[in-house]
Amino acid sequence: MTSDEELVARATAGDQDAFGQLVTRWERPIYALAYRTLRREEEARDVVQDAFLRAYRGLKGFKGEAKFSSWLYRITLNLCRDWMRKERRAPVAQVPEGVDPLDLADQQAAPTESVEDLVARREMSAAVQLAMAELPEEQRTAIMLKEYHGLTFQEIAEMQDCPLSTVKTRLYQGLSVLRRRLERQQAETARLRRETWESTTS
Amino acid sequence: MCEQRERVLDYLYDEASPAIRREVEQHLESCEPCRDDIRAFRSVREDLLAWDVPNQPSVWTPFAPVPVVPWHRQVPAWAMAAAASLMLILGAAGGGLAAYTLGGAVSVRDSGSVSAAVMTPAPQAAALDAQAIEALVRRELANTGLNAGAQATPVTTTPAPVVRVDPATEQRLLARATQLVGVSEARQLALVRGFLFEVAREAERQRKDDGQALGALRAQVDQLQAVLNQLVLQQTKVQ
Repeated sequence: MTSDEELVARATAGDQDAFGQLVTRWERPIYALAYRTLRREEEARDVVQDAFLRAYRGLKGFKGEAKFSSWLYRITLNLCRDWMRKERRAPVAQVPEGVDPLDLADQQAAPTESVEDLVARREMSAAVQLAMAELPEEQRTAIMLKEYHGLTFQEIAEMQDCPLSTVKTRLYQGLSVLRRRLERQQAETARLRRETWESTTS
Repeated sequence: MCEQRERVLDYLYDEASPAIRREVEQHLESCEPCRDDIRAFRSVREDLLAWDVPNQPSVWTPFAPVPVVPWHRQVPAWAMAAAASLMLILGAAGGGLAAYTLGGAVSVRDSGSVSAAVMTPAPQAAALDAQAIEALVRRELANTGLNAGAQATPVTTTPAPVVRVDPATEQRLLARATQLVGVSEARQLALVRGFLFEVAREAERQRKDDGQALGALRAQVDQLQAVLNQLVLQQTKVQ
């Protein structure tokens, strides 16, 4: 597979197809980052478009000091931050308590997934979103870049303009908070299930 | 808090060198809090995978042709305002000349009232020059109250001077004014049509979006119903 660096060099020289390949390669991760940051599909799509447009226009200024993907992530996070500032919204929309029953019928359910697994996965997804929403922005971003995008501590430090140790502290604190909240959430869910089961069988 | 925290994170995320890995593993044997962290963080990492991102069609259409901007959007606002003012002035001039033509003479209103003076045009009257037209238009605007500058002018009882034109010039100016008014009307019509077209297009887009959302909701409700039926069946079997 052609490397990002090679495609960037070709795109900078005017090869539009090369830039198209970069878009195809990175569109999904960029959308995932924007969606998890904003929790809004429409706005996340707008951010992806803007991010690639800015990248295209800024290709000549991209010196390759960082990876192309890191550069794109940084542009995306800046756009998300601009959007949140403009809209004066919380970075992540609050997830309602419990699980939305409509989520059970989500189209993404694997065909072979049992109903119980589907319900459990949806419950966990809602719990994760709720717990992530309550983290400070820096911790949440560090966790997203590490967990969902596999960036190294060093890359996250460069993206967040902070020392390496700060990134690790953010990760550690964020994971600790998530751990407590998810454990509490799972205990609560188990209790509700038990009560529901008891009330239906009694 | 354990001093080895950062190294434990390196270990957790596989960023530790082999030597550091061995040191952390030795440390974990003797540090209960770090062992507990590692176990809990691995569980959290697994839980985080449950957060899916919805599938989306490609949002990128690179190098698509630039959308054509309607011509009326390309014209600066000041140019539109200037054109409108010009049309107004020419329209007023055309109106004055039409009144003259219909009456067989130039009839200039003074101070808002129609003058009783009707004069037969002299065949040898000097051709109407630009200054005369301007004077005529200004006076017409002042009398009809359309000119902001003229509105402030105190009303005078002095009869307005009569401007004479020869019939050929008069016909030419009238034809020109009529033509310009026609162009102005056509332009206004195009503007209105463009606006209506955009409104209709926006409404159609909204209708489609609503239809898709409704369709998706119906599909979700159907699937939910199926899931519920399955749950009821399973519960019935258990009972």
